[in-house]
Amino acid sequence: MSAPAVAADSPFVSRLAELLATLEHGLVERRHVVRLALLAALAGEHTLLIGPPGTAKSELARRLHRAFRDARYFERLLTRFSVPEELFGPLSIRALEEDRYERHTDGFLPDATIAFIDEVFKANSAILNALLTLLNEREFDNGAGRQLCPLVSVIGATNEVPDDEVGEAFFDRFLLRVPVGRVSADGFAALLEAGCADEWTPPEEALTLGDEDLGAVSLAAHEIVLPQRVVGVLADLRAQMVEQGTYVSDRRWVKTVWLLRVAAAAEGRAEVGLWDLLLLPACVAPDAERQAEVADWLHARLGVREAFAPPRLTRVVQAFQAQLETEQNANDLDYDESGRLRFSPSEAGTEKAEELAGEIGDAKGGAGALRMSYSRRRRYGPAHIAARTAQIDDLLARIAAYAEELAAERASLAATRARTLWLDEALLARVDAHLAATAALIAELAERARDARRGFENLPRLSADEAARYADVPEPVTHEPLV
Amino acid sequence: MSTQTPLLFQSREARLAALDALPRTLWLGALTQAQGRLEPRLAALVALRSALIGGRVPPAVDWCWPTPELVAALCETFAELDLPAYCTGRQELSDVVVQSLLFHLDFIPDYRDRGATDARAARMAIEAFGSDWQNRRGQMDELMEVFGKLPDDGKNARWDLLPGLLKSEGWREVLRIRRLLERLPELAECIRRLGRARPSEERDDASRSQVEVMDSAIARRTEQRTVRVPDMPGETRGVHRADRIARMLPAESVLLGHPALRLVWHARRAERTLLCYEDDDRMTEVRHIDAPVLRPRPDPQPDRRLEMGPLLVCVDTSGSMQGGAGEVAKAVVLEAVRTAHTQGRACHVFAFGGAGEVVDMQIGVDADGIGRLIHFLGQGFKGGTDICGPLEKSIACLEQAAWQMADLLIASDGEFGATPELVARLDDAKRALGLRVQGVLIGDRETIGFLEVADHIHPVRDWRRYGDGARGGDSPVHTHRLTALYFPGALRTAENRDATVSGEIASAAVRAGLRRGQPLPADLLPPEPSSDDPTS
Repeated sequence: MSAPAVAADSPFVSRLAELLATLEHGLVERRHVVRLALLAALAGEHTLLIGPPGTAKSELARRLHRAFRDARYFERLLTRFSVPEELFGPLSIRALEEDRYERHTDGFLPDATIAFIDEVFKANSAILNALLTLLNEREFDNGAGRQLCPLVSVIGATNEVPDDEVGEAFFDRFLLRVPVGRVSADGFAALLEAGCADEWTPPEEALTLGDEDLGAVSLAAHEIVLPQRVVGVLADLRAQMVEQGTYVSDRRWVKTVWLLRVAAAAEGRAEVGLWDLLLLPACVAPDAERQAEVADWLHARLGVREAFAPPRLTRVVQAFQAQLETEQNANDLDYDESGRLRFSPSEAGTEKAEELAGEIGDAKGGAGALRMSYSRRRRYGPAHIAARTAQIDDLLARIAAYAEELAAERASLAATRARTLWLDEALLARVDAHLAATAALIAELAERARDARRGFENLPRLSADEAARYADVPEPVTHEPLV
Repeated sequence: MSTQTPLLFQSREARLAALDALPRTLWLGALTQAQGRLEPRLAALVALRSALIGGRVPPAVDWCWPTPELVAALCETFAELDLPAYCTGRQELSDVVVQSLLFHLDFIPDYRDRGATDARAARMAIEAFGSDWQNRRGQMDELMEVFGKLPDDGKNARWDLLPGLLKSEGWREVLRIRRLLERLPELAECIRRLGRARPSEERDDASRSQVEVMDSAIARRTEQRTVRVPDMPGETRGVHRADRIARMLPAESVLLGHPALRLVWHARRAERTLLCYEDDDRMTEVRHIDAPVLRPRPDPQPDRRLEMGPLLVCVDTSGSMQGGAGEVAKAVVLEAVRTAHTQGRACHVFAFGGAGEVVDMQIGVDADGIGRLIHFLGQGFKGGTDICGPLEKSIACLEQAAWQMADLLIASDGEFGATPELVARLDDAKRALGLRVQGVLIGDRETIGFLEVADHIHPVRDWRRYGDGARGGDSPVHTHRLTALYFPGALRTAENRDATVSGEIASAAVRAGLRRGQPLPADLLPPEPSSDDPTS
């Protein structure tokens, strides 16, 4: 069964893409939420939507159940006064007459495939335990027996998360916690337009997912490879969260990785990619604020938070530029053939004299006189220049390797963007822009290094006879010691 | 959130990680250096630098840069100059050594450009490095001899300025005074004890301070807590399972009407699983409890003697200090600078002559400070003696936060007198800040002026020996406490002030025809400081 789900170009992948397109049709700025909810359902996990009223949370849930073939759907709004009968069905009177204490669960939550529970935190103690067991183990205690439930995924919705123990327990049952906000200013016009569009039509029968599809995805997910790089980042994130004091249970990490495997399997890939990690914030951080923190950390770790020039490489380039400047401005004492200091005109001296003359009023025209200096620009021989350019060639090769790594990274991102079903397109576009800007910075570094190389090549050269002269510097004149 | 290195470029950047272990001053040299390849070079430099700080040179086999021949020659040079011994524990100096090594090795291609063979160029570079450090080693030896340790412990040592200073005539004078100090150990001890920045091991019985001692006692305190009172009527919170018929949901009562379900209802009630409205049955309660607590009790304990902190030194440079006394005064200044330097304390020197002739120097041990010190120690002594100027400046100094912990040292032959106002100000500072004034008496006897200003006076008995011609020997008098012994009433001590009356009161008493023992009339009594009988 796993064969159709593994291949990248399998009909399953394109079917899933079409299904997703149908599901989000007519919803404004809900693309990412729809995809996350379906991914969670594929992985057999529950999703919690956190957001103010009127943000299409229940619409999302209703659409989602249409994605599954023969899915039984159950929806309930909880209040403080909700009783177990509302969720789990009425007591069976006939069973009672036969001395059995059982509920009629047909059509209620224990019988549903996809359920939507609004205001999920309003559950009172009469409901709580049964609901927790149902979410966790997908079983319902009915009378003497335990009833196996066909539940695939529960969509919970809430306006805000309470911080009591009941809340904690519930909260941990939902692997994905997705903040759902109001439509942005940009999307507002589209929202008004969508409001009077045609009624949403559920996906065709052929597109919907059946049990065999879920089984295939699950089977394929078991085969997915989890590369060492991904594990490394996960371990770092875990350490980071411990440091921040955010507790993430071990169960949640396991489920998170399962979700990543399912995401990869559903796209027909063979391994979890680095970019899949962009799904992590919704899995490990509880609220929008901390999810943003995790996302920020993750982007920084992957090197895609902003465009950056690798700092150490930049230092190497800067060092050569500084060295070039020093060597261009270096002066030597100017000796003649006999080893005496020779005076040569200097530009800097003339400049300074003219400046001074301007300040004091140069009545005698002293500034016009020829200025003398005993120093001149230092000259360099071929060995010196060869040593420098060899170092820069080494540096250029190094920069090229950086550029290569970046190009590979961009190629992998482009491939991911082309086929991803789950990742946020806007986020990927931002990441790509940052990588492109980083590439520009690397290219600039290479250009600076090449400039420096040209600069070294153009240093004033030592002529052959000069070199010979330096080789035998005149011996110091010896004289009789004074008595 | 703490940032980690980005995964992108991580491995490539990690190869340059040695850069972060190198100080900034070495980056330029290490990165653009002509010899060898970048990564092994960086690794070798990090190893070399940390080995130097640890006082050794890495064995020749462990160098992965530059060439084996160069490494052998370098190891030899390092050993010959004993450089690791100088670098031990001195980061900045080690950096300067590594920096200069990079500088000299970088010249090898330039030597070759000027016609030298490979071997000769390498030898020239190593020799230049060796002779460079041969020189500096000599300078370091001299500086360490005079100041106890290197200026700023090798940091920012202005190697460009220092050599000139160390060749000057003035530096010879400094070395001479340094040798003089070896014969005056008690002077060093006296200076070491100055300052009040931190408690020493000794106990100071003169001052006691209140220390809080904790006693245990029983105290009553109140505590608020929330308790649950079952069945207390309150606001309805929601639905829960219970057996309270009064709070039962209407749906449950329906069961009572059915013949079979009646039993269910009774069963539920018995099992306390009737769905009932839940009341908010919590209330806050205030409790009083007796519990042991620790209660502070003040207890006087002797303080420890204070020491360290910045140094304020007033040195008499008046004409009367010429000769041996002047030498000792210079030694005081040098010792103060030395002590301040080795112990990392700030030092301010006021040299005072006649009125208005105050030289005010803050002397640190760096190129500028050494220059000032050489200048000061090289000058002669002349002019009068005015203690008021430097004392005023010292008190002004003490009022700044940085100098609050300073003690004052006055080195003089004692031939001065301070005005009563200034003495009063100094006494105020002693009272308010705990200032202590140490005197170094470079003369045969203390004067009233000196006694009034200083708390302790340390006489330098044989100061005449230190003059140029080394004429004379010990002080000709048997004690330095002549003034205190023979003219005790001349001192402006508190007892003396209380025991005498001012001129006006005395003349008023005479005019009134009073005799000894008779009380003064009230209008003649001095307002302050006491109401004791002034004529007793």
